[in-house]
Amino acid sequence: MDGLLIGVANLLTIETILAVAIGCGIGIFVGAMPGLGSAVGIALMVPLTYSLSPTFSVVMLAALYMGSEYGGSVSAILLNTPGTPSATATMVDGYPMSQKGQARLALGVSLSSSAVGGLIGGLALVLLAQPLVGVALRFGPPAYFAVGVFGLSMVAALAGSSLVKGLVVACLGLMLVTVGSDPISGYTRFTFGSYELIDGIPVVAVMIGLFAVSEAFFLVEKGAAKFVGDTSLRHLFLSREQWRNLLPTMLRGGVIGTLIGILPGVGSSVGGWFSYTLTQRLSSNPEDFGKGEVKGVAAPESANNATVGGSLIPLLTLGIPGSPTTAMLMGTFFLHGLQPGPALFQNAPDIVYTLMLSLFAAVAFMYVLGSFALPLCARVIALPNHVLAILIVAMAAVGVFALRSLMFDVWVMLGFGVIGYFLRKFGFPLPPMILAVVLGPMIEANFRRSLLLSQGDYNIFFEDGIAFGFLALTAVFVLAIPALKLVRKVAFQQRNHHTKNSTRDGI
Amino acid sequence: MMRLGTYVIGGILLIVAALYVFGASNFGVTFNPRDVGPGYFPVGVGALLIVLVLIVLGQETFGRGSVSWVDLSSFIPLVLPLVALAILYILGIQYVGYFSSTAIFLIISLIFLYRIELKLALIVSLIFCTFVFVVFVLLLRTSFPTGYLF
Repeated sequence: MDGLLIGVANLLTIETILAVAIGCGIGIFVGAMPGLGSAVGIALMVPLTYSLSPTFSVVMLAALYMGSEYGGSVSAILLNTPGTPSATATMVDGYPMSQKGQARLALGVSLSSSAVGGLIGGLALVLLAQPLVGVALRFGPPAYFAVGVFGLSMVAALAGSSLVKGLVVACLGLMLVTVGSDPISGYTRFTFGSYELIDGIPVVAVMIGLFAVSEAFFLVEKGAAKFVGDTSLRHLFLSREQWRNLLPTMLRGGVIGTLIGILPGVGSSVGGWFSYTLTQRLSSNPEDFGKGEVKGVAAPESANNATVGGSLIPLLTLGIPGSPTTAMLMGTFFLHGLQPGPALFQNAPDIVYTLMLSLFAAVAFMYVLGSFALPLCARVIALPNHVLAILIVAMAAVGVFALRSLMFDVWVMLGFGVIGYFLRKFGFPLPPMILAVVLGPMIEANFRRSLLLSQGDYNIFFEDGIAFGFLALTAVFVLAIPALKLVRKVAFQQRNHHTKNSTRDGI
Repeated sequence: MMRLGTYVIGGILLIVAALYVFGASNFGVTFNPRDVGPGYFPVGVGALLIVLVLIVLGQETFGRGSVSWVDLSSFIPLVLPLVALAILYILGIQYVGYFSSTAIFLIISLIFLYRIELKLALIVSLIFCTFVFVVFVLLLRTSFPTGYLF
């Protein structure tokens, strides 16, 4: 309770309100720009936070995360190009609404649904974080090792079409974090005599390279999308009748998004699609979906904003990020000398509670900025992708250099941009690598501490109930997810075969 | 294209993983878990990577690869010039100076690579450099390399 009061007091300061406003505004902008999104936005902003206070930094980036989840719907509705992966479900009904001249209504529904989802996610974070911290305090090194492996495996399994490729890039990430001083003995590894590597590979440069620079290379390959819809986008507020009609959909989406956000690796795009599909199944007019049904916009939008609060729960309570965006946020905590997890609630309760409560302020700012700044935003998203890509490269270079004033880091960033481009081209997903870079030191340190405690006995991972539980879950998911994908593929092939036969037989 | 690319990437990863395991084994690692040293974890990760890459190559060879075709046709005309310019840009930061090389990079890449009008390229370059100067130099007190120019 004291923590919440401190959070309220901090939230009402000019500094925090400014952080929320800036973060939210930038978030809507980067979310609306096709190809950017929250992870790239945070990656580009992290270097800027180096000189700022920890509270200002994390609050601004969390607000950016919230704003970008809404911003993604702007280009999905107006350009038929999702600004963020989570807005793909919004596009299905949002763009047809825009083509029918209902862009204003679609954007209004998206904004209100995002606000409801954001509030539900924020509320879940406030209510669940403190009890979960009590559980997390019982975790020892084996449990932390197991939780880290679980988070990493889930992301590797779900991030791309191939589990093995996901695990390959996760291993690459783990290899990267073994560069530099060993976390237990201080022995220097893989530095090749370079003083720049003694503190390890520059994590932020790697993240910016993999996410922002490789994205820039992808952007130059795409052409600019065409702006569709009306241009008078003010007054996005819904009528009382519209609220009454859509509120159950928004609430359901909010709950789904929160639950999905808590799971590592699943992400907001799954939340959006899950909410969309469920709403369609429950609808009395499922045939209207895909043709401009307003509930088809409300359902995914409330879900993807609710994932923001949900995904912060494992990050703040266990120190486990479940997505690239939360991994970037975790990197920001590290940059300011803070370690997310139960200890953070004891060592820096002001930061934790201010961050949690700032989500509500972010929703309020998102609502106001989304209503009044949208005409400008709608114009800016028509910026050619080529211009955007070049600006990303230039911005990434300046941001990475500003962190340590080392040109070495800028070369690392460019190198990982090229590596990320080719890995993505050949079907290797990047999120497991980002997570491995962030979680790697924790996984290695707790693995070795566990073996030191048990004098080399691996049974310590099975005798610890929490560790055993998470390792068992990891094994189940790693085996179950490819099996489910295989079953789905076989079913799809059988259905195709059946359809072909029916067509050939003239049925 | 996909198969050849996966073989190239797989081959590179195998070499990297083998060198990594070899390097890690010099850190005083033993296979006895009672003697957990700085090389123990890296050797395990490297060995796991070798096994996983072999599985990926096996899947590709026997037709269970996850992606059937990769389009690299736009890499040489669109992406490679940007990578080359980015390399020159980073070299330029060191030798010519941050602001002059940034302005040159933006103008050249916008005009020559992507056929943006000179006026727009100059405006974009001016706005970006002003933004960096105000935010990074004036507010965040970052000092950039000045090189031969500025």
